[in-house]
Amino acid sequence: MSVDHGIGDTSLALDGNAAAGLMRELFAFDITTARLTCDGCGTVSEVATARVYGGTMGAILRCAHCDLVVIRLAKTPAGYFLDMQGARQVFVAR
Amino acid sequence: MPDTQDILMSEPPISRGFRRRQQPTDVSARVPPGQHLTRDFPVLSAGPTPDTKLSEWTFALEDGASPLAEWTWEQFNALPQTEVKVDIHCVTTWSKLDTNWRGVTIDTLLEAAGLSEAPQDFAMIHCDGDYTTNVPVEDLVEGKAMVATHYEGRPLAPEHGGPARLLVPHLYFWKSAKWARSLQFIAQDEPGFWEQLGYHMYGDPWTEQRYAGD
Amino acid sequence: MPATEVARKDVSPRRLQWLTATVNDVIDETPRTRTLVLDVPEWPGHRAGQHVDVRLTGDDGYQAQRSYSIASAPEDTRLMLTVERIEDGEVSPYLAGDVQAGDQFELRGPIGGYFVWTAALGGPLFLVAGGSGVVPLMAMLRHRAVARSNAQTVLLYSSRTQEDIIYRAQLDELAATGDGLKVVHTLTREKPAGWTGGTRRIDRAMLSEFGFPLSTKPHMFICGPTPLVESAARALSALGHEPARIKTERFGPTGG
Repeated sequence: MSVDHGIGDTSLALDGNAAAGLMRELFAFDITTARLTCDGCGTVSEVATARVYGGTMGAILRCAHCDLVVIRLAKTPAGYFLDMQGARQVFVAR
Repeated sequence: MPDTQDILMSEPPISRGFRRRQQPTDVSARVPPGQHLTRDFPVLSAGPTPDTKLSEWTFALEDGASPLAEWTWEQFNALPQTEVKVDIHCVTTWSKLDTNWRGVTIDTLLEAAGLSEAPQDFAMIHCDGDYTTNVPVEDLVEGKAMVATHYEGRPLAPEHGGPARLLVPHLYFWKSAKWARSLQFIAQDEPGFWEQLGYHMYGDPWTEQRYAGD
Repeated sequence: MPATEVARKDVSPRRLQWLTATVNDVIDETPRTRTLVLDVPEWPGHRAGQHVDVRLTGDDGYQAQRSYSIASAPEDTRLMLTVERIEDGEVSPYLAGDVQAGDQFELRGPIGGYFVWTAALGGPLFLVAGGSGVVPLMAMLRHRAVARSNAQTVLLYSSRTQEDIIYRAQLDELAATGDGLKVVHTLTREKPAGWTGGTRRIDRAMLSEFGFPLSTKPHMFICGPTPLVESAARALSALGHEPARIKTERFGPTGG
């Protein structure tokens, strides 16, 4: 990481590593190594390989193959809003 | 945004000499609370920049599921154009003053569609890349909003929403949806992309309506 | 720290706390980059390749947060971050400019278990870096040295100019030990007199020339600006390498 390009410039995507810190606030484990099945194209890959958008508004993770949103996470004063509709399945190794 | 846990624990260490950049005081009346001025134009997107060919681009007005009107790029640009100079305010706290835009106002679109007024009280804007945002109709009409195709005298760049984006400058800028393709009138207000994730349904920068419940 | 102890800490459910980091020393690496050597009481340890989130608080209460890769090996006594000063950045001009010994900020981590290499994984190891993307890869090389690994390793490292090469002297030293590490430099904006390294952007030909044969099933890590990472990953995949063995970390549009 050395992510300090202005105030939320996401014209070029980051990857799941960039959202790891925020997701680690919500999940009690590191979700970036979990394997996620995209509900759009069925591709299975580690959450770290998803393309991340949203800058400081929130983490929008999209399937690297078909761009479907697989995870959306926003941290607001009320709490964390998490949407994983685009993730058909998530496998976390023990 | 401090965590609850942070509030319970001791104060964070102050990083000596760290400051946010200052803004000139003579324009501070134009800067809403919690915002600071920027000279750049930061790009924030919820997805990759779409690659829509102008030959395939259309903009539509819809009433629920019923089409009202549709324009090709040539037809759209032949409509009466309006130029505005406005201040814009992003929920991520940057504000930019005196930005110049050109496009077609929502009033003009309604007129071109043969409508004396919008058929519903609310609207959902649909965009390439599946982005959506909701705006009340009264915040779109009477010159308050347009579909903008030019920024600072030049065609709107793709990363800033080109070929066309909604421009509703009196609300937080996530409402000025990039890559706009249709404006769908709806009977009830419904949350768009960011609103579903806890952002405010309306988004008035002057009362800091950033998140739901503000 | 033994490998198994680190793995246990990574798996146990534990909330990531903000810890206070005190700057112990500052090392100027290049005109635009600096390493901060930090004292972080309660630091839980890390694996090479992971990063931290850093949070600064001004005396007016304003806070800013950014992520930085850890530059130090897990075995080092102090945590090190190498920060590149980004034009118009808000945090990096402070960390890579104003900060001095005794200053404090907060950090939390370690974060990210995907972009990680441990000596136990072995080689061959192909590391591809663009600009400040070399930082997490340097942590891997430092760990490799401490662990006395002989894994065949190549670092292919792209910088703009000679003076932008981060860790140049240390990389020369590591490569000179004869333990199987080769470092290949390429410059994208300069062709200095007497330069024997590459003089163009990393491309498929360079990856093919300096990388490992498919049959050796190398571990591959690419880090740097998004365009470099994407083109290198595509090229390695097109050369026939298994996509699952190509691990990437994108820094966004800057640098390189």
